[in-house]
Amino acid sequence: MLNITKKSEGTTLEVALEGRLDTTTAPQLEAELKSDLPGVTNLIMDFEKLEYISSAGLRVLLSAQKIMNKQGEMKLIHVSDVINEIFEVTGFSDILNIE
Amino acid sequence: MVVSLALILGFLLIVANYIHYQDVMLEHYEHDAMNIGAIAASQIDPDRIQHYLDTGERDEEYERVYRILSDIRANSEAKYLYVVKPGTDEVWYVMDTDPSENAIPLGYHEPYYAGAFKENAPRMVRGERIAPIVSNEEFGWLMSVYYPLHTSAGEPAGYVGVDIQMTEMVNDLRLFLSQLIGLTLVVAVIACIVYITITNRTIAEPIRQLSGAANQLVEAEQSAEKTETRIFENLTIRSQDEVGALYRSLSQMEHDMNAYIRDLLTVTAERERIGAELNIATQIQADMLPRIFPAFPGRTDFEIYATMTPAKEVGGDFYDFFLIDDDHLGLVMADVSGKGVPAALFMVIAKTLIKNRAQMGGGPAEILQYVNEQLCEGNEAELFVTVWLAIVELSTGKGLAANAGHEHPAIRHGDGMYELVVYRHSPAVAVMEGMRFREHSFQLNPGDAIFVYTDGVTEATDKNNELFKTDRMLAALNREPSAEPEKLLKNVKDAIDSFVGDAPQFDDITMMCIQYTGPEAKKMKELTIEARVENLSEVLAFVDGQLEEICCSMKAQIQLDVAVEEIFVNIANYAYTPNVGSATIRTELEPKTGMVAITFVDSGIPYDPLKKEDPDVSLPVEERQIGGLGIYMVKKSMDDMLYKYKDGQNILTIKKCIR
Repeated sequence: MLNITKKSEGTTLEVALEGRLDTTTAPQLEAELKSDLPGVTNLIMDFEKLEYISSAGLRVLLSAQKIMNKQGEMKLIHVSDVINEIFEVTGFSDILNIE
Repeated sequence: MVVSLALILGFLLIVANYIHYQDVMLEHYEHDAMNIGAIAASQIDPDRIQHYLDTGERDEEYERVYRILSDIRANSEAKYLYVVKPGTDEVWYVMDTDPSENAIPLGYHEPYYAGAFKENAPRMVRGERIAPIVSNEEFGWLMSVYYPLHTSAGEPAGYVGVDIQMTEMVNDLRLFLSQLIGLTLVVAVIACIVYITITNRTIAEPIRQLSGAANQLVEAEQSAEKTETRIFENLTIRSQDEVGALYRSLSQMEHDMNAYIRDLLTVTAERERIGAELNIATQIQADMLPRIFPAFPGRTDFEIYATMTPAKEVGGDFYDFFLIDDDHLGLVMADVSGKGVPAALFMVIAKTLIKNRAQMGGGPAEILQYVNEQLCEGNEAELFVTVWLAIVELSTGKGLAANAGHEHPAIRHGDGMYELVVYRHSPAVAVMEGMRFREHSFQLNPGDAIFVYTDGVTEATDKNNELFKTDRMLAALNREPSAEPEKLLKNVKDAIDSFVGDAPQFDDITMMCIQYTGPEAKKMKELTIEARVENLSEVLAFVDGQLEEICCSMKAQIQLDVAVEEIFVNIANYAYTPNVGSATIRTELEPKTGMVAITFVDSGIPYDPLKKEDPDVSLPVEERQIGGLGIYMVKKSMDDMLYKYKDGQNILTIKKCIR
């Protein structure tokens, strides 16, 4: 299960994720971002309550990063140790902006 | 000592000289007195003596003789010169030349003086010669000599008496004596000094040196370090007397002693070297035996423990255990005949041969036959080794054993007691070439145990030369038959120790116990499900349920979840494309080791994910590909991954230790 809470303020979009970002839930996030990202220059993703991420989730993050590189910037906040370790292993910590 | 000896000698010398001198003096005086007497006698007419006494008349002749005798007296040493006529009791004075008023008148008679005079009276009456008489009466020291006179008829007529004053002679004697004593003392003192000086120089000083050297030598010998000494050698005693001989003997003794010490040091060093080498040999031998327990920490299907308590010297006992493969355990208990270095060397060869040959496969009989042939080659020392060799199939508990002349093993089935398994043994290994070995099978069920040992156990001897024997051994085993091997061996060792007491240990005491707990108690579960992405949550729920049972950590669970998802989604997306097939997920948990193994089986197209190239995780974001990242994550987070394709199935196993 994945709960997505969005907060929009001008061209800044804050997306808070809660639960698991896996193969079954990744398409959900992908669809949400696809509809909301146009016009956004500052994307903030709050991972505070994200428990889990698999390669499907990474794929969504990668495509979001690619889009945001063209129209602004994206950053991840409140990343837990477990998820950070997955970013480290996969080299995502080099391409994502993690605070 | 020397002084008292000198005093005694001096005293004897003085006495002898004194007596001799006195004799000479007396003889001299006597001779003189006799001469005086003889001269006086020649002037006297003995025939007239009786006449004078009878008449008392001093006639002309008497006066003439008186004058002559007075002259003689005055001109000689005689003090008194007189003529007497001895009677029986009295002496009659005929003439006395004493010029003083004390002169005795003619015809005066008086009794003999007591002593020598009276004793000589009878002889004087007869007119015989008498020895001179020395007296110290009223006239002082006198020597009285009597010269006999005879009438013309030959009758005794009287005596001319000559008294010589001895005072002078006594003074002479005293002077002589004092001079003699003085001289003797001086000579004795000088002799003593010379003697002491000489003995000091030639005897006492060398002996003092020798004595000091002997003390030094004793001290040197008593000191901890046995070094060579040059104590006597450094002395300079050159005398040729007994002291010199003693010095040469002692010097020779020291020389011999040094040689002896040198020899002893060499021998001791050699012995220490051999001892040290033997210690190393014992250590090497002990190190050859597997001694780290638990020997197989990852395994739960059996437990093993073994000990060897060596006797003083290196011996020939050994035990061994090793996994031939994952499912077969080799067990060895053996005892080489004899003791010491030869037995130890033989043991090393036998142990190596058995293990190496066992690793190549084959049953115990086959292994022992090979080892027998090898050991018989060039076995000039005619050593042999008794061996119990067993190979246990761990998954089933089936075992094969060969017993080449070794002690009967003790076995315990289930909850029972340890009992000896007695059957016919083959001969010991290396006894004879071309031997074949009997082999028999046995079955171990979970809970069963085998105890093997060498004769050091059963032949442990107490101070009354009684043996420990198998009965006591079984009793010790059955005190706590269900105890784990380590405790069991300790029980037996304690029983031996209390039985033996202070008696020395003659033989190595070697024991080994294996308890079979059966195939690994794994928790295995399986889920077979249609390989569709929609079923992922069901798969994860199944895996998570298993992991929670063994208290998996959050981090490990997430890593395992990610791995399961990546692999299952892979199968769902690609294995059966375009159709749909099923996948089986099997979990195996080892609670003891905390190892989790998850196996995925599908019948789709053969695909080995391990062969897939790793993605480049250093590329910039625009060039990044998402493909292959999932498997890469699995590889990175799991401890092990295995893939095989068998019977039309892809079988992929991931392993992770969750502790």
